[in-house]
Amino acid sequence: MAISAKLPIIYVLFSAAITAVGQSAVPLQPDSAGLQLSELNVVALKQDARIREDAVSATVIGRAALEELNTVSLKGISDVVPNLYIPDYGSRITSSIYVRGLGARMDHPAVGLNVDNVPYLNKNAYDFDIADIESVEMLRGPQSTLYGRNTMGGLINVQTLSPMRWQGWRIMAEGGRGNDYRASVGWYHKFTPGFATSVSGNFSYLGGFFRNENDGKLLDRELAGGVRWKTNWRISDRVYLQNVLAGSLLRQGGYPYEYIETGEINYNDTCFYRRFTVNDGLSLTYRGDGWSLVSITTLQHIDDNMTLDQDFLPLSYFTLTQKQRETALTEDVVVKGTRNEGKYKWLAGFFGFFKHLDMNAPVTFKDTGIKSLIETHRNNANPDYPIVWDSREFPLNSDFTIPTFGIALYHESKYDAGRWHFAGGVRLDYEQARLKYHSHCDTGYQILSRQPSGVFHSYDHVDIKIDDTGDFHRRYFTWMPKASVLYDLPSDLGNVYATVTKGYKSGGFNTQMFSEVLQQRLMHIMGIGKQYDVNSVVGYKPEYSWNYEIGTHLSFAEGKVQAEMSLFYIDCRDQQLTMFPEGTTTGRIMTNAGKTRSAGGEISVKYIPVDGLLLNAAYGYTDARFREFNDGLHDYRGKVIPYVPRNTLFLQSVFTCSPRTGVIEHWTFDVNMKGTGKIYWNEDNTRWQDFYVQLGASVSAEFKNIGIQLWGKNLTGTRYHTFYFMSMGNEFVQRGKPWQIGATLRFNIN
Amino acid sequence: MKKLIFAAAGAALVSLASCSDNNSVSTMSIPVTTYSMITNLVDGGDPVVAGTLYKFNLDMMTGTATVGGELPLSTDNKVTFVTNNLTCAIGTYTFEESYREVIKMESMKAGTASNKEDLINFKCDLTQLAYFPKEIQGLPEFSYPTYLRYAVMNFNLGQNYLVRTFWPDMTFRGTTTTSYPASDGSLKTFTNKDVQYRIVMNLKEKKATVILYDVKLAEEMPQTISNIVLSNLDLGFSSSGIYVSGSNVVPSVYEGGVATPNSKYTFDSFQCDMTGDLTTATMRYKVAGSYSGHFSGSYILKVASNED
Repeated sequence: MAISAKLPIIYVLFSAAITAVGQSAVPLQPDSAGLQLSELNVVALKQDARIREDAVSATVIGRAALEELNTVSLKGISDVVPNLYIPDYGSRITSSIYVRGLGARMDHPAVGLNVDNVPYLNKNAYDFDIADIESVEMLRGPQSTLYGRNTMGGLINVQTLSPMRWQGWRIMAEGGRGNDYRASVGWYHKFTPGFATSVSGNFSYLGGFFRNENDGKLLDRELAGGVRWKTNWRISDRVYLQNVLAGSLLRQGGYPYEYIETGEINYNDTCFYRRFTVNDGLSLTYRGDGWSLVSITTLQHIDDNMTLDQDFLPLSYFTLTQKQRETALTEDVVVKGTRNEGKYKWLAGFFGFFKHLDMNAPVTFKDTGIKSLIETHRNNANPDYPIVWDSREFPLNSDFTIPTFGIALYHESKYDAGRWHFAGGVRLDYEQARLKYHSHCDTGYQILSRQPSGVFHSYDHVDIKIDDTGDFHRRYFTWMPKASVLYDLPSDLGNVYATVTKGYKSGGFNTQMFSEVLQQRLMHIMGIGKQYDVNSVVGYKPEYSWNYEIGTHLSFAEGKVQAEMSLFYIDCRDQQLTMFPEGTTTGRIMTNAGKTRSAGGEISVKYIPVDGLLLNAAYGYTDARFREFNDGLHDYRGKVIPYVPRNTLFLQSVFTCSPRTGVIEHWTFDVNMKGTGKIYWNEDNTRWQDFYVQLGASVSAEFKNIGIQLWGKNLTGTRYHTFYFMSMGNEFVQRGKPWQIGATLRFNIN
Repeated sequence: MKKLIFAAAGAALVSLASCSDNNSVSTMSIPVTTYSMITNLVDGGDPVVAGTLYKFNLDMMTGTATVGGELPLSTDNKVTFVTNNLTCAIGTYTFEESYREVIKMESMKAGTASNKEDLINFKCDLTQLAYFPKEIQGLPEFSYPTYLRYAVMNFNLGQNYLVRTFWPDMTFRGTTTTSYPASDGSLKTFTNKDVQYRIVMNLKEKKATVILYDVKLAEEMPQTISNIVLSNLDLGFSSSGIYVSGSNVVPSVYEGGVATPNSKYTFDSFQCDMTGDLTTATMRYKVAGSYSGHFSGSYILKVASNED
């Protein structure tokens, strides 16, 4: 059965333009202190500061472009970057990022995220709004050699506006359809030429788009806020310091999952997600003569609670709560230098981290669940002695403590030989993780016996007291090499490159499977069902990949055309896949899929045909398939890997004009189109989402210190699905958001 | 995967009972309790079954051992024996996520008993490679015979007697094949290697309890039954071996320690035969008038002789 989407109207590019393109509402002030801000950017530190001169596929989106797209979080750049897909579904805990066929819906991410040099270790914290984003860089392909674990698909680096570059007040207020409101305030101040600080806060409220038929309320309501305190201090000509302290709070409904059979979003138990995060990142740079050292120390904490009506039906099967409290400490020390008149550049580093996670994850069985999943099974096995549970609700409790520790050493060397540039690097990575669990349950039931008269008498009572503990250890040691060669084309045309890189994603523990393990344990005590071997289901192995890529960065027509193209092939071993187990189970598990491969290409073109007009196009193609995957019941060899879009497409035209008369200083018109798909939803490729497009547009008018923007997203109202899953034999999807329009007011005083 | 590692004699024998009473530190004495079935090959009568204490004296320096014991040939006739020095083959095997030791002894003529009869075709494994049953609340606890778990021993005493050891609580693993009528009337078969069979003998009462673990008799069966207990079956000993049988047995299923009768799985017939060296068993049964089951397996993991 195809879950199809209609194609909207044909996208048309047409504009007239007068003045220069790409200027933001308020131009940035140059750095009069001469501060090398790139040295406080961990990506710029480890890569070439000019990313187009490095052998990597990268997309950089600046502040103006982010404002044109009305993007304040990671999900907003999905599809804008070729082969990057970040579906919007569930809640803010679900930050599933797919790049070139690699991705993850649970546990460890396949794409790393740095925000102001803070490497976010917990994917649960990836989705949050950020005020005053300066730039978003997306490096595609494995970045494991320099950035380590969980950057197998790439790395996203977000930098916020620096108070060294801009001073004043920035105020933003926004309102849109669906009672979608945002506001932010930022104060940026430079006390001395070498010391500046900023404090910004943001707030958002979403009334929601999707209604729960059960109680008539909007499900995807959200209330969120965050603060950020950024300090830049040039202590001396050689010493720089940056500290960023950020916190956020979130209260969200979420999970508007539609039951395919009825076409309704209809469930009777509460679903919500609450989250508190606080992060601090301290970057210290020392510039020697021909060398520099950077130390980046971060402390991050997340405290969240996800509670779900696990069956997503108007029946009382069970609910799940997952509370996590995680604290992590990271340290990254990088030393880099040059020799031989700059022909040889080297970089060496040490990375260490420790994180401690406490998790409580009770599953509460309710009346329908007790009846259909427990009592019925048991009574079918022995109808002459049926049972009745003591209560119509009981919890299966699971508590986990997961400390994880890792250290790594890495090195990269680059050598320039005229037009040829060679680079090689390696990372040695050791990680150990431990899982201590405590699963417990205290319940019981009555056994009845059928008398010849047909009447049931009490036979006996069974107490079920489960109190299991366990302790598992996992240790992983791996090495991650990379090698590249880049050739500068003549006439400053650009370059071509080839790279070979190994990627790595950590193994982990299937904590969500414990509810299933405990349920099976309970059934086993009752005399039915087989017990799981905890050790065999609890863990999953690391995932490895070899990435082969050729590409080019081109610039011609006097810089009016900039293009990037790349072709890649990824050979992945033990790819981690999220699966819902067979039968009437609900816990998702991570399993290693054997072997997969992914092949494809990307092309991005920016063209300025005339002053004031920017044409932007980005297309990505990925064919990701299983080479070997047999889960014991099915052989998926040759099938397309689920949740990975075959195509991503982004087309945009931006027109800017500056009228010579009148109050308005600049007009900016933006029309854009995002296309995604085909996406298969399951391993046997029987469910899919066809290719669909969304049309967006915005009109901005900028006065002296004020900017007003009218914007629209999915203006043709394309209906599509962002997610599909199957649970207990039932199929669910989440619809994409409907059309949205809104207005944004920006007020900057500098 | 079984892996054979020949360890140094002293290093392998880590679970021995005591050192030798003599002053040499290279010898050890191991008492092994087991049960022996002594079959009179001449008169064909019921075998004698008795608990037996065998004493193994091992000399690690020479790699040899002697075995001694007392055997009741009848109610008023006992013989004692001590074998000659038998060459030992010592091995360590991987078994169920851990290592287990095996000491093998074999001799065509191992010595002479007190009644002047020769000990012929003597074979003995001191082994830890035994399958243990799963824990089920309420079911009897499993008993372990000795430090090295099992003495799997058989030999002839002259031409008249066959001596074989066994243990009265054994769990068999192997292959169960069930045939049953499908909904269209055809006969379907289902093969299952997960079912385990535990035979618990009451030697005094000549009764046995059979416990089946993880029972799934057909592909269409919606759930696995974690335990089915057949109580009060007939236990018998014959010249060929040990048998357990019963008919029209309504089993119990233990749930949370409570034994609940379950007539849905009534065993119309059950027959178990342990023959040969008594480590293997074949079973046949019929359940609920429809399911015909056949099992073949062993309670000891057998190591192929070329791995010695």
